[in-house]
Amino acid sequence: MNASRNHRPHAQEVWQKLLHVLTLTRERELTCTEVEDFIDYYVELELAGENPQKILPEVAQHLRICPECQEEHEALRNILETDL
Amino acid sequence: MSISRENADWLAHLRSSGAARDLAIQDLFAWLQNRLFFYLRGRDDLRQLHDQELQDLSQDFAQESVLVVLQKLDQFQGRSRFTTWAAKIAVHQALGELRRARWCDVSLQAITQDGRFEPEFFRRMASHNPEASAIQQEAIAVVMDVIENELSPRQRRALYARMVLGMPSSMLAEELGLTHNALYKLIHDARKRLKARLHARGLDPEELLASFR
Ligand SMILES: [Zn+2]
Repeated sequence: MNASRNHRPHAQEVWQKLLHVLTLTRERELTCTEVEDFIDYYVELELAGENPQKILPEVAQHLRICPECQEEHEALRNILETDL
Repeated sequence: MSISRENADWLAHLRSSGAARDLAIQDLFAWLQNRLFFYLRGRDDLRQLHDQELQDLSQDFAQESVLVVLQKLDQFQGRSRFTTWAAKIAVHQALGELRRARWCDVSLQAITQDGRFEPEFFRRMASHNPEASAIQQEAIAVVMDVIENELSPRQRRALYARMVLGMPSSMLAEELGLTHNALYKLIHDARKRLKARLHARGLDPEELLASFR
């Protein structure tokens, strides 16, 4: 459970990660709380075959930059796709 | 099954009293618990748990989530299905707890107490990596200059904890005594500054990144 904690990434890995988030950095961004307000709607659009990246581009941008919201987005998708 | 309730019915039943409310709570709990169970079972980091332990865990998460859902009923705006909204709350609860458990025995104070972004960190990379082109080295120098001379100690620590240690922002916010949103803004401001400084020197992060591919 603690793999990520003990893993100290190589400098080059961090440098690329930093460059990556800088390419995604916008003047105005949504916070996690704002993204959370829309994430259920976002996932339903996705599952309905709509294009949420187009409809909610700021949410899509935040998901690319924020590991926690990304993880919650994937989990929510997974849960809604579970066919019981 | 429960999912067939319309949003209005969910709200009405959960706000009512007596049998209708109990049944709705039961249905919501079962719906969340089942799905959380399969989700948790699919997680790599929980692979060592047996099904019974996963059942217990999903039960705990579902129980807590139902309570939060009941507290937040008035905040449901009907943008999605009610169950989707409830699942969002459950995911937030469950993942928040898993992250806390993973980091609970770590002292952020200890691992980031120097408050520096290990300034040698990127320099070492530049010197140990002869292929790092002159332009990468120039960009590293700009970034290090901003980190050392323009960011606040708090920003340096936050950036380090997020980018290098991968610390969850909820834990970091707590550690720094900031709200989640204030922490986001702190790091966002740091990113904007770094980007602006690079651009001012004619350096484009996208191009710099492309050279690694
Ligand atoms: Zn986020």
